[in-house]
Amino acid sequence: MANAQTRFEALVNALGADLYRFACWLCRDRTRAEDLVQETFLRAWRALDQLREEKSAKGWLITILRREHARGHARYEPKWRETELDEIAADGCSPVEVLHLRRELAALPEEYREPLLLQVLGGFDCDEIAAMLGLSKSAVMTRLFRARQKMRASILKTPKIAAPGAHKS
Amino acid sequence: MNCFEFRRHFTADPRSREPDIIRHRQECAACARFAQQQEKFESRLAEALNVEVPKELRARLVLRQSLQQPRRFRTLAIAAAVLLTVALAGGWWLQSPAHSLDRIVIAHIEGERELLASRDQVPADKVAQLTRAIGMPLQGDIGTVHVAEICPIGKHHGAHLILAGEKGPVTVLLLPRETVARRKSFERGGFQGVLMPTGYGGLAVVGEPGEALDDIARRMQRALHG
Repeated sequence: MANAQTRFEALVNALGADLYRFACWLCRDRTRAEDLVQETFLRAWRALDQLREEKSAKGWLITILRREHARGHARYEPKWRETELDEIAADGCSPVEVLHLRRELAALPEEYREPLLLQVLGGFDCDEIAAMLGLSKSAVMTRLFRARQKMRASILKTPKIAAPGAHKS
Repeated sequence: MNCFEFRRHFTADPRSREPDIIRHRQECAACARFAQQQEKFESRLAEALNVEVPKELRARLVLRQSLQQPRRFRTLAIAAAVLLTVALAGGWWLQSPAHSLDRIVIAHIEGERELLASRDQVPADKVAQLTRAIGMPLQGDIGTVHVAEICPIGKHHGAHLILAGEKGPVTVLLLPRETVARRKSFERGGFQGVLMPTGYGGLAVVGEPGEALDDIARRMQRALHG
């Protein structure tokens, strides 16, 4: 029992924050995100013996979270509120730019947003993302390309925050 | 690989380690500059995704999981604690759980006395979320809440709320892993308090002398039972 508890707490320490951020951007509501993460870790606790290797833990937990999100999604309306500027921990980066990016991310359709989150927050490669989403690798690459193109195009359109020397695509 | 293919691939997957991608970047100055710009965008994207995580998240996750422990472990733990208490007291005097719990409650409040001065206003959804996390969900309007935190209280974690009362701040402690058999009032350390059973665990309400603690306790019980 102590071993399982230690294992569980190690997972929470290592992955709780990342899972919360993933959930935030997936469902675009902090309250719902925490509920999702709570449910995910509860399910993980009950099924801990199914996790064979700690290095698979992130993918396993994200899979559980995505399933929980899908189960609750039909009943749920996101109510994302604008992020306060003082929450942004930017280093050498304009808070306005990051705020703009956040707005663009929140506005991305889920079929573009989710692969992007899995790649950037989850650290998964395109083959892994394809397996998780049940898509071909080329479909994943197309969605990732479109997600970034959309966001970059929106930033480039805003004169105040266009990066100096940025290419127009 | 031509420049179009490189830029499309690199936009989709800036961390790609495919040999063709690496080679083209080394060989084409224009695409190397493109890749550099894309990497700057990636670091902004990573910052944008890096939203603040609630500082009590870890505690709430572990607490919620700990409440899922099989009941027999809780029973064994209580039995062991009672036996130890009997042994320490020479075997002729048994402390009732309520008697020691009010000491624990007052000790906790005194240890966090500075919270009583708070005049913040905690939103209702935060209170609902926090109390849900410990398995004692409060729903509906419970009054003005100045403080809502999860704390170690005695041997276990619980919710520590401070509400605005008629006579001053009122502390409400939700104690999911404490059993209170029946209502008990007490006075200690200049405070008056009441311990109440609920269907979810123990409830402690503590305030200034003359505060209508039973009214507040009943309000909490109604909020617990919907």
